[in-house]
Amino acid sequence: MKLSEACCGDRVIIRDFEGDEEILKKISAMGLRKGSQFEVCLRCGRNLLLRNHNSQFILSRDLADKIKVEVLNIEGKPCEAPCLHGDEQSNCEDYLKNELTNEHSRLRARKKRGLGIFKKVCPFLSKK
Amino acid sequence: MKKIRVALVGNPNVGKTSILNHLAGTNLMIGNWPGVTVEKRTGSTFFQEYEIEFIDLPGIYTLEEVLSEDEKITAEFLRSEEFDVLLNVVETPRLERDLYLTTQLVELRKPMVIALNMIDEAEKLGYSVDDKRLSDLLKIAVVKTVGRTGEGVKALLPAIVETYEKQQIPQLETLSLETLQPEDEREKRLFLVKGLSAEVLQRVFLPKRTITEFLDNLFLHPFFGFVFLFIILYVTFKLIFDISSPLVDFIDGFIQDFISPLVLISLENLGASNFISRMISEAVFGGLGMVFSFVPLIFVTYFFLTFLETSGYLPRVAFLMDRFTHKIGLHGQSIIPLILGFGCNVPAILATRTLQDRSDRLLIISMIPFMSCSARLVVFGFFAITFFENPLLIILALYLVGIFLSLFTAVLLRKSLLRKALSHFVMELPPYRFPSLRVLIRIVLLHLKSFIVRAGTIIFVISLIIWFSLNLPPGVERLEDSIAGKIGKTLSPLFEPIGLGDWRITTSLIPAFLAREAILTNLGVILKAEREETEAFDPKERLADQGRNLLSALSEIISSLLSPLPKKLSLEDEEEETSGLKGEIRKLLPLPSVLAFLFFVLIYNSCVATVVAMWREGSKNLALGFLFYSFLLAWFVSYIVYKFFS
Repeated sequence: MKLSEACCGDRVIIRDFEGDEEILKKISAMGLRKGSQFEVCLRCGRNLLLRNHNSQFILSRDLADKIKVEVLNIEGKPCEAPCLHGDEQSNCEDYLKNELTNEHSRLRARKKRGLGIFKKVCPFLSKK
Repeated sequence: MKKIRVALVGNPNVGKTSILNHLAGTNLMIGNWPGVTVEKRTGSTFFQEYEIEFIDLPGIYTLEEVLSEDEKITAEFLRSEEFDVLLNVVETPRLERDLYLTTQLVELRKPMVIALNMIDEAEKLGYSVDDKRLSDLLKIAVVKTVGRTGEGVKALLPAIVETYEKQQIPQLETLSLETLQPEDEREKRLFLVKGLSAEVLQRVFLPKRTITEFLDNLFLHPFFGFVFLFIILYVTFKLIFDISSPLVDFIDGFIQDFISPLVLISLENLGASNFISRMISEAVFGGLGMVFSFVPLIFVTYFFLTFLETSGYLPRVAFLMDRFTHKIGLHGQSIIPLILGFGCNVPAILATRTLQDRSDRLLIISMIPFMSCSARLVVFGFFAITFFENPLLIILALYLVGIFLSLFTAVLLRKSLLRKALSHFVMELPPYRFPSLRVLIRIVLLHLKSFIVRAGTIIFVISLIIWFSLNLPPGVERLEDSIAGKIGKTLSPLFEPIGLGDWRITTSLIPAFLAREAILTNLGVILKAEREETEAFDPKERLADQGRNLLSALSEIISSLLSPLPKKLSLEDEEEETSGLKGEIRKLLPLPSVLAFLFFVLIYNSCVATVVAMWREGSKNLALGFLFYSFLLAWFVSYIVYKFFS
């Protein structure tokens, strides 16, 4: 799978790089190499924060798309912007937006439910 | 005496400059982010019968792909310039990463010494380092160092001399890569590096959660990260003003009310001519003294800015801000030069060398002059303290307007001349490193020295020219009829619509193009020349007054530090004081004109050093085009502000 598809908390191992762009060689020289293990600590905006025992990297998603990884273990620990494998919902902005939409629909449902009870208790007040 | 030329090479942010500072006694700027050094710098020392010259090169990850300007400098140097020894500085905790470059340096076939730097950090992270094994494997000298404290650094000197004398070129038979394809070569190199690292570095224990992990959970949080950023900026600005503004007032009063009249009287008693006495009193103390009174402000500003720079927080800001900057086509790394611009625009423009794309570089160079530098802060500080009850809020507002206009300019350029797709973003986050007070003070003193040298040279010359132009032609009675008055009056119609039609203001603005602080110097010289001293001067009484002022300044600092809210000034008390320069300036400018003036100083790129840096790093068209654009924008915004508040 692509690194960009990894979730927050996942521990991954870099397997390969797709393409032969100059920047990929530089990434490799910076320490993101085949066989290196990293934890995806945070996904925010278009960036991923990767960490291993003593290095941390910020990597934009377009570059993460070009890195093939294998997930070693799905941590599933709570983090700021969790995401789901293979889902469109892949960054914290989308996550927050989605959460807000869910919250709105929950509130709407609660209101409706409330009104339903209200109607049951005081049927004479409801509009016909 | 024989000379050895040593090139310091290594990955970015591994402590090359710190080592050079310890070796050669230089005072070069250091920081904790990749890209502090963007140009070649040198330092020399004498050891045994040799003069050893060190050449500090910008950090580079690999010699294969050179993408940015700073990396080009290093690659060019290594390929085409003469040097005797390579000093490869390696960050021990990231040995495997750094050895990749080392294996490329080996192929240069030059005598080499390796400095295993940050050995203390490696030990804290649970690593045990076998330097002798690395030395055996590469057949060169390997020295353990701690660049932050200087531990082990002096041992590099005998190692360098021995390496030079014996011409110790690293030998690694497995590195005969010539026959391989480029792809295989890289693969083989990576395997070799992994093997070398495994031989030399062993993890003895796994540390518990590091301070960097703990702090990053707070500072990089998608929501609370911004809350912390806001708090850090607020506290920084509050401390800058709470500590510096009472001291600025005290020093200003000390120079204007005590030193200046004392020198005038002493010169008169010594029989100096009226012309000389007035020149020293008005040009030196009236103008230059005003700039020197801002030494506490510069000191405190750079203290906090340097702390942010050396602690490693700046790259975190880059990560946080990328969420917004990528929407205008910029990646977060561009934030670092912009923040450096709050100190001085010139090094900020040089810092754009770390960016790989030229279009991105030009865009950021065009944004930097809107970042209020310390020279503008001096002008803002003076006017805000003189005219407003809440100076901190006024200055914060000016900073925010500057940031807004830089974003506006970025969007404008991205949509027109510098159209381009968003580039990728990759950056290494350094661990948090808390600098010692000694290092902080040393860097701050460097900035302070450059401010004082600037004040003592350029600004001093400007204030002398202004004073002479106020007193020429000889025998001129009214200042308006002097050369300065005539120049000011000629330019007045241009500034009249923005409320700055007074010739004294326009005359102050012209030479400010050489140095922004000169605006205050010029106003000081002009107003001091106009002012007539009427009060009798009693040195003992005035000195006692100054003592009382110092005590009240110190108590003011303590009381404002204890309050969480920004300090409010009582202008009513100060308005009664009309004899001082502040009183004169308050009489000269109404409030709408002051606001228009501050906006004009904020926006117009009135600094010759910045224009030259833009020309050199960008292009002639960029520098001249921006000068014209910033003048138009400054005039237009000041006009709106003036009309709105009139």
